[in-house]
Amino acid sequence: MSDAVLEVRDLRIEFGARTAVDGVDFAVRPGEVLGIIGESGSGKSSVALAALRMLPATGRVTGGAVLLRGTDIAALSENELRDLRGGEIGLVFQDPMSSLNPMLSIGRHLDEALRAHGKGSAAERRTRATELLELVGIPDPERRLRERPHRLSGGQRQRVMIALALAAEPAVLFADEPTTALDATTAVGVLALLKRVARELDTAVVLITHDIGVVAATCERVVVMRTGRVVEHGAVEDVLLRPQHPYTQGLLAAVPRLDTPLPKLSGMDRSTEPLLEVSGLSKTYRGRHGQRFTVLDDVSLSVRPGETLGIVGESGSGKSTLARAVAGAHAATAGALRFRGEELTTKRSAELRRAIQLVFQDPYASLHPRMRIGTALEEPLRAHGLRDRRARADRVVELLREVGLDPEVSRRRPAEFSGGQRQRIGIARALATEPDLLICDEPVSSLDVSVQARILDLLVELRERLGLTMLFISHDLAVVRQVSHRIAVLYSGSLMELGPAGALTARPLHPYTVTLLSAAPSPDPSADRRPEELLLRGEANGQPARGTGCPFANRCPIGPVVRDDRGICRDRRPELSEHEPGRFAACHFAGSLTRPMIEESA
Amino acid sequence: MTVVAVAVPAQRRTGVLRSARARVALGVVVVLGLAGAFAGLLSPEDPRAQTARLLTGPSGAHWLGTDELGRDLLSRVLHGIQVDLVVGVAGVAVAGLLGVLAAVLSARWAAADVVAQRVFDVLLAFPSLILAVAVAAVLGTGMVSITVAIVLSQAPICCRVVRAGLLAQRDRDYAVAARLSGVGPWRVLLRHLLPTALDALVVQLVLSLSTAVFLEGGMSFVGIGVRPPDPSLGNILQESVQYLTVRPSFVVGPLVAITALVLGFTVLGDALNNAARRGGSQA
Repeated sequence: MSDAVLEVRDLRIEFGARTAVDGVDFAVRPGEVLGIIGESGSGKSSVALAALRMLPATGRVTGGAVLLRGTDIAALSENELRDLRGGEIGLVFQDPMSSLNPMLSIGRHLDEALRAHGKGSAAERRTRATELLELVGIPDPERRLRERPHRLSGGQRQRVMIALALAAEPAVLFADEPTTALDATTAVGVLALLKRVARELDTAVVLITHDIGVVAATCERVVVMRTGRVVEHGAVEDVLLRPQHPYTQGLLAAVPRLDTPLPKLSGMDRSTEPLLEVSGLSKTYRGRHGQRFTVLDDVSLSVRPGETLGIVGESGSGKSTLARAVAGAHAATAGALRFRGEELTTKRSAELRRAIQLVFQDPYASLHPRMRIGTALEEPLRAHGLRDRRARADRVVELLREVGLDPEVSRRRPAEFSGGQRQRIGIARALATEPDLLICDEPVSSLDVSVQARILDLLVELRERLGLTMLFISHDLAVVRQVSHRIAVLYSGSLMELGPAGALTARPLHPYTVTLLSAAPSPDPSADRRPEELLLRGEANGQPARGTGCPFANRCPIGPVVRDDRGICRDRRPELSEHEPGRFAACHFAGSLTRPMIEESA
Repeated sequence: MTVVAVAVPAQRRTGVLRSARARVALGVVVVLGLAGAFAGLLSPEDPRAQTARLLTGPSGAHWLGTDELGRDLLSRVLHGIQVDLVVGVAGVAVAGLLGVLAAVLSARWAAADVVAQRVFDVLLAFPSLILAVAVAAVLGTGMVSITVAIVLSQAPICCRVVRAGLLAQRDRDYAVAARLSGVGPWRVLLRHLLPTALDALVVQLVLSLSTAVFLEGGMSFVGIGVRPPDPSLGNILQESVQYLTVRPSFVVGPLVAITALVLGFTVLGDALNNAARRGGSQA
């Protein structure tokens, strides 16, 4: 590949005695988007750092070379390296919040980057900065230049990061998990931008990600990495549609998809009274300057015994607030919760505490770092009156077996476990009291895809075996669809749509559900699933316009922004009403925006 | 389906003694600690015994010389170190205990928090030496007053350090998880929150020791601490300063001892702090 701008040849990187990258080869041409995909620990980020000679002090390149236009970057001097970093090679990180200095305006950030690479006078730099912001799709760039990062939403910050990386007109742009911290509807726009950058500026883009959907939507070629080695390399269509290596096949099989047949879920009892009833639940916080933030706005729903209700929403939708209110971690501002007809408050009887348990999102934060696993699992048992030491120890063994862990591990501390294993421990702790209702708050979002699939299987299996009722919360519609009987879609604190999982994902009634579905990354690169009109304008910023209208009005693809005759969306708030038996939506024009790509499979 | 847990190699705990500075500081503190503990055995003479050899310089018989009453300075400095360490350790230990107690009560009951914090606000508003004058006015001079002054000035700081640690963790997922699984509030506080909060306290206790030495020096120097003829680093220093022009070497012994103690504890506290932060980020 003689026209490649960046070439990595047989690269080997060691951290101490551990080989992190072992013989990686790839090349990128100008204008091409190359994806590097791998799970945590695959060495994908080390490759990017090595290309910039930015490996941490413990890491060393022990073999191979990184060639930029044929020049080995290992041979560059410190001065030449400075021109390389942010000059020839730009870098975009995962977290746009911590990568921008909160004290400096966007203009200062850009000016600094331009000046560092000797781009013209102050006035010229200013003009260039405005152009850059326009290029990355930030509206009103003149005003934005004067503002500091906190005024921007997550997606806009990531766009600014890309503008910064592009300031010196790099030949190669490395983007390390650029959309991982963003909502799906926001990520779509950022990925489209990266694609446009490659096409219009002829930049070679290297996109590093764990998300196959991101690669499928953006890249032309893909490198699949596992434990430091390239297991597969080729055109996206070939690798993702006809994977050769068993690892790639397994990875693809593990990705939850929206277009696969729904698994048969059993066990829902339709006749009996609801186990959990949420009626008119609201939660508002008071801000520092007295303003009120409504994070949950008049949400009503019910869960029947044996049912799994999925709750989907982006960040700021109030889904975790709902979960924690039901779990009793905090009180709601208004509305009521009933469990078997009994009122639920934060002060609960031991019996209610036993019956409702929560699995946390982050298995690293939810276990006490110093407490042995056995002790952590014993605590709820002791708290619920199991006095006998032996009985407790037996139950701990049983719990560990239940979640697929060796009972021997009970003397270990959390640091000795992987993320997936810790999540199993978190589930075991929630099951310790034999709950009736298990709330899972994003239980798999921080896990690798293959681990994610196993934890989901475990949850489904436990649900069937123990007859659990579940509230399953996630931002990922494809995950929720796999495990839920019914799905509730939340948007900025309001319930938008509620219905059976199959029907809701196949024929969504609410335009927001439609946009969520079209933004959901699919591992199928051939699917042209993103008609332009479904790209959302703006993004949820946690402070929706409160008032009389529909909370989604300003971003709705069929709302007043697009169609002048739909003033009603701004004037009158749509009630949640039943459009088909068992299907509810809060929209004046429910069902008018359809998405025929996915066949109903339930 | 049994998944066997694979042990992640335990990260080597980065110790306190990683830096040379910390090792030197620990050495200084240990040497001075031993010197204070065995002052009686190490002293060549009775620190209160007066002789006719007044204000002599260092010599084979008196390594640090003698003071204005002909007493052996080495013996006096050694006993002075002992006094400083006794009031320091006693005062700081009591301050630490009171601090933990107040912090735990504050974290448990909002009302206790309000009361404790306002009382501590008042105590912290006074410079420690002014506070010490007030204590001496009530209790008279002597080792007990110094200890009380150390407690009053350090307990609020200890309390704040522990309280901050408790509050910072209270809304962490693991604490919420414990509460939701039915664990009682006391047990959450003592088993889940307190152990981590105590890390910071250890650092604070060592730093408080250096303040304690400083406070003893200050109180005795202005005459409201340990009264002569009993030796303490503060009052030896005070006497030596009067003869600074006549016998400059007089000042060396007490000055070096105070400086070494304060510096040793401060540097050691810093090192502990760094180690706790490194360890904390791994945990």
